[in-house]
Amino acid sequence: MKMQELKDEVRSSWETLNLTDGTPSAECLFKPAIRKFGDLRRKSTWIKAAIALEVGWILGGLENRDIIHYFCDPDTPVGREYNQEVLDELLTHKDALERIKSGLEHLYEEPIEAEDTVYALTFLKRISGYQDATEVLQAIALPSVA
Amino acid sequence: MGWLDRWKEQPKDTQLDLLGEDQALVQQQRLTGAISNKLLAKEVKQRGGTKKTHAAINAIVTQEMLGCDTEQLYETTGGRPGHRDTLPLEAQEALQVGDVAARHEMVSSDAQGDLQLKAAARRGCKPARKLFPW
Repeated sequence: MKMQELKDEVRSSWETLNLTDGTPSAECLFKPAIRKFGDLRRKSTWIKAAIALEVGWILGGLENRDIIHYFCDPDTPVGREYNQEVLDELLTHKDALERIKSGLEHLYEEPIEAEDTVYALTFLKRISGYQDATEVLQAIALPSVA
Repeated sequence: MGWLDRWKEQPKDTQLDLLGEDQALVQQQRLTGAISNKLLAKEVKQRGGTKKTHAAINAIVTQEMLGCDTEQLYETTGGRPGHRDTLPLEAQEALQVGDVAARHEMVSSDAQGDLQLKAAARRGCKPARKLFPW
């Protein structure tokens, strides 16, 4: 991703996250918010901010079933380019696993479309390698995986 | 024109298929909040929005219909975040009405792209909120 596109993504993710938690999106607050991730002259700072803010609006704005859809069918530039990093960051949040579990159960037990079941199984396989995830995910025991 | 006229004009194989492209698992299903939100997500995608647009619109619908932000809503009611089924029924009802109102405004104003879609969602919800007493 080029620097300008990255900065645009960071800004729109920051605004989206603010919508979900009621923080004002005043211009003067933007740079201080991003500076928490490091030196604004470095691309690595913007990448870090892009990933963290992406996780922010995913958890703040999407329903649990749509969190799984996000990872299986990413359509944002950050979601496409940094899909694994976004997942790693998401899993550092305390209630992320519970939300993933709830999303998987919904997709599998109450699918609306045919792809829902496929996404649930694909994502469950992907995440089952994570050390902390095993215990929570065992509780789901989707029939086709067991 | 009433809805039955619209229904009669549609090709027979799509008459029950709001989800389109043979995606629906069952042809006859009861409309739930989850389906209304899915239809909203599909409309957003079709009109050039992304999942980020959808997340923003979920927040806009919550603000417009319930007068609070998403985080506040779950914290105060004790609902489980990201799981609308755990909210009080009254809140679920308003969110579902908001999802429907937002989607129809996108269609009727032919909104395209992130900004227009978010603006249409807000416009659609404003009259819908007036249905409720708060």
